[in-house]
Amino acid sequence: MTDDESLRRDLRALAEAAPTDRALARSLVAGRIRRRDRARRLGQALTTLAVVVAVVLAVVVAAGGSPGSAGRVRVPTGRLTTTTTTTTTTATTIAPAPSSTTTTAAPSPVVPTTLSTAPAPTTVPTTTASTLPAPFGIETPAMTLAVDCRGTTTAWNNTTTCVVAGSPAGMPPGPPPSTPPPNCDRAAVSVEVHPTASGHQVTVTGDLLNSAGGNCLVTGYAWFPPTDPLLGSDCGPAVEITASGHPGTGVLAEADSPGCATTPYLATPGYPIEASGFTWTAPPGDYQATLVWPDEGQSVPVAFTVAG
Amino acid sequence: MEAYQAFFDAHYDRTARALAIVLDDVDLAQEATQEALFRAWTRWARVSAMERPEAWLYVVALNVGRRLGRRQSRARSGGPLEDRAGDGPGFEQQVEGRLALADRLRALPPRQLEAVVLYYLADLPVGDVARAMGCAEGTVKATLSGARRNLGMRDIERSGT
Repeated sequence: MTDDESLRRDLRALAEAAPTDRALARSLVAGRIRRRDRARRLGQALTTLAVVVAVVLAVVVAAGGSPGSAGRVRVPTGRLTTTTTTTTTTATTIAPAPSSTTTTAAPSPVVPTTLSTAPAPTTVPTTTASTLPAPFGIETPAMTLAVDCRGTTTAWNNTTTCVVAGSPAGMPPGPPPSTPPPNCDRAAVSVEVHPTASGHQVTVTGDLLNSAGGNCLVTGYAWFPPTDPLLGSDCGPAVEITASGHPGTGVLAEADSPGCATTPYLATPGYPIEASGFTWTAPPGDYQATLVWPDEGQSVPVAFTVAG
Repeated sequence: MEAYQAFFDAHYDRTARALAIVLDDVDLAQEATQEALFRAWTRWARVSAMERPEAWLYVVALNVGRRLGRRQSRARSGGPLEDRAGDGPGFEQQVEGRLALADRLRALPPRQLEAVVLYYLADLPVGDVARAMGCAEGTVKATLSGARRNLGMRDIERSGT
């Protein structure tokens, strides 16, 4: 056996020592794909309706009316309301048509497994006291929640979920700087703990939405243009979540290049932008999960404790 | 999307394990591989048409792993690779051999380690390794030659490298 062959054999033996859980990986990747597809469909719906708005306004103006006289306009694909101000700014609020929202349960390209990720934080019951968010515009400190799941669950299938929601710390008072649509100004971070024989499995996920009940957008950002030699430029995520004690990053799919901001992600009432989570086995201790939407420079940290 | 599922099943374990050696962190390697496979899905038409999509997967996973590693370098939880060795026949001998190899690999400069893993473990041709590392093929050959010397191997001329 040559040195090369020996090295190949030894490397493979060393690599085999690394445990992998393909079923769990498939489930996690499938979750990212589902969330990305849903956000992208909503973003496309917004783009389409924005074009419709422009066409309708152009027709109204061409017919001798004014944009302000357009009032309420109904289009077949959704409910759309336009209001105007004395300036050139136009606030647009769009509720997606049912056909848009019913496509969110698209079949996953990866076979889901029973090791699925946590349900959406907005639908799971809150098992500990949550800190309610202050009204938007009021400066709030970073949200902190102590999660002590000790003794509450004992089986694999039982889940303890702790949810905290809040506005980002340090957000300046007053209306969001850019309209329309409103900024995403409220985040919910979910921490789910599965007690297992080998320790606590912790899953963190995040939601991002507009506290006033309207739509909001986030976009990706230029990420690592020179370091993807096979693909060229790329864009960073619109929303991501990290946790101390885990090296990974849960990411809502990155925007398309070029431009990065050309495919924004849209949150509508009841359909927040979700940062797909990740799961790891966490030793007892104090942790912090942070939901970040880099394009806006905002983040919401949530502290939690995994009991021994 | 049977083709994507087949791609996933064929390459997840191999990629994650190769990255575990490069990054010396099992959890980080798995996270990076999952992110790379997710990106593969978002560009599947393009990736699947590549001559060697698995090479693309390695490269993207490596880039993601590097980035996550930098970001989380002070918050590692995965543990080094040798800690995850399982039990079984010849366990002590296996662990001893792995520790020795892991120590030698860890002593390599990062570029040499990447080249070794991509060339010897991922079985990428020198051209793909060069693209992955963003350098010329000659540089890859020189890097592999240096790695061989550092690993205590005979540095003989080979037709491929």
